[in-house]
Amino acid sequence: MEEEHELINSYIKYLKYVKEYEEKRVIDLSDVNFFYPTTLLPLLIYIQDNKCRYIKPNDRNIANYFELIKKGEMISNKPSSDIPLILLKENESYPNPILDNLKKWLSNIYPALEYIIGELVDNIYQHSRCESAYIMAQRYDNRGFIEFALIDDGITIKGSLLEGKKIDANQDDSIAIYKALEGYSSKAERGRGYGLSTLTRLITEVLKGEIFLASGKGLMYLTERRGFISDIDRRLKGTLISIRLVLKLVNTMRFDLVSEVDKYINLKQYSILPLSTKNLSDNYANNLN
Amino acid sequence: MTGREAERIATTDNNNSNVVVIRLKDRVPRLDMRITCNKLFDYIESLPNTNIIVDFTGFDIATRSFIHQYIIRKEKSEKRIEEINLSPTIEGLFKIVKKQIEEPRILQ
Repeated sequence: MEEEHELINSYIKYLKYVKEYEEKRVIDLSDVNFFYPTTLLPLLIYIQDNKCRYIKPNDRNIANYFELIKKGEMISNKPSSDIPLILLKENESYPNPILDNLKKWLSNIYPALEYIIGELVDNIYQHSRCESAYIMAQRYDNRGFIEFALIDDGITIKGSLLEGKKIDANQDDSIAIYKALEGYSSKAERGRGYGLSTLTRLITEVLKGEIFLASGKGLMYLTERRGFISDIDRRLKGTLISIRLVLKLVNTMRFDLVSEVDKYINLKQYSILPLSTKNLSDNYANNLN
Repeated sequence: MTGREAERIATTDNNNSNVVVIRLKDRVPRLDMRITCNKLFDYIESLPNTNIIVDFTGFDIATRSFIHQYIIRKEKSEKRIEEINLSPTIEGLFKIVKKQIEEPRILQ
């Protein structure tokens, strides 16, 4: 994918806004000309939870978009390429607008998207103990990809594994993410622990997409060819998962879901080890500290 | 068991009020989450019938989580539960998840 690591950069952008607010008590969005869900979703939650003052984007289109997404309203005067911030409610499977719109765009691979989103939302309800969770998605026809993001304000992956006594309290969030990918689950039932590992492999190796995850201080980024798992100094309350899929590939790809569900990510193919921030590339580390 | 056989059992066996066919499409919108499966089985357990036929007509796909929860709840139930009209994908997922339950991964 042309703009690899953009998911990471998008998250770093969010962290910079948080840092700005901590220092100046205002978030300045005046020069923003673009929002990706990976920035926008945690930012909107942060603004909402902390009742942040913010300076609106100077670009009127971006400002309107920001306010509409914030209110959870569909942008009705355009073909729907935007899925607004949608609160996930426990009493429903998940909101239909997400799937209905995605179906229209990705009719061939729809079963895979239903599977991915269903599993991700189920993980939130099963493990996060959150008070609220949100999902948003955006399709970029000109750039050829779709990005969707889910966030919850729950106990993080480490918190979940701690409840299941699958991790020690003194171990980092990155270790928890690694363990979750290896197949550890907070639940004791047989046959648990496949979810994140299978999904990650499906997204990266089969659909050739990218996945980014932030949980507490832990970060994970994986594509088919590369990835890392690490910890940073700044903590996210809860867990954020962002996924990018190339539209052209997703629309044309054929695969057998049943056989793919029986496989899981092989972390040994990556140079992944839990890393401290000093081992991240300078580009990321300088932006975070 | 085919759908027609299930319907025949449920509708013609007047002496056997223990059999009921549940059309899944009438009960749940998608086979996606464990909560959804639990609601289904809470309904199943609330029925007086001891023989349950779950008709999967209309569903092409289910998540692994739903299937896993279905298998676990079915194992715990004292009712006799059978499935009919499974799509090839859902049938395949049942086999995979059963295998994963019986032969779990060995973790380091």
